[in-house]
Amino acid sequence: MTAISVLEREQATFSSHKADLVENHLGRFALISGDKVESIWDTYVDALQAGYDHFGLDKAFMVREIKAKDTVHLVYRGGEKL
Amino acid sequence: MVFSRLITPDGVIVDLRISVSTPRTSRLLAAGMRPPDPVVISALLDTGAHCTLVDASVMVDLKLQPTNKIVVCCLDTLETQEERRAYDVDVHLIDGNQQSPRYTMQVAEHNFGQLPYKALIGRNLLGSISFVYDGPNERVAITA
Repeated sequence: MTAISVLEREQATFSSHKADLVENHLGRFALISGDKVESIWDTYVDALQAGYDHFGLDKAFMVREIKAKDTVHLVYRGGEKL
Repeated sequence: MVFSRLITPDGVIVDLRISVSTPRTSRLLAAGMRPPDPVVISALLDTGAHCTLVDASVMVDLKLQPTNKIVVCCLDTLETQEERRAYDVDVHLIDGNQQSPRYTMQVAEHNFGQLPYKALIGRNLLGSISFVYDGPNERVAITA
């Protein structure tokens, strides 16, 4: 399984828990692996550290800021299609 | 750290040193593995970019795995929304022997093609630095 397909699973997990996460943990950071929200952290770096401590280098995990609405990151210039 | 840069036809370009994030580095060292060497690239200050984008080749050089995905809309090329892999990295602005504090942050991948810079410094990094635009002297003073 590729990293990106693993993250699709984590993204689906985030989406399925989003209402509860937004209600209870808005502005914090969710650490997600597979089908489970493992833990919630106050900062991005804390969540990242927990991810590497818990999952090491081989198992994929996702760190996602908990927002009511996912941001579309606008970029006005530069580059080519990936 | 305070330094200045000319305002070029492309804008304000600075040097960035990008390395494996501190948490990932700790894990690599604990496993007896040496982290990949940092990569130095040119980067454009871009107040219009919501997030920092880095050329996808840098992620390959640093042997990173994505730890998030974000939605990016590049208004001048795609005009559509596209998912991009995002990675945890440490970033320093550098100027000669000087370097800024370390910023552990998320950056998204991008393909900069033949452009003279390989990153856009967006608001998630600009939020940690200050700059003064000196139009008459065609320079920008940066405090990081």
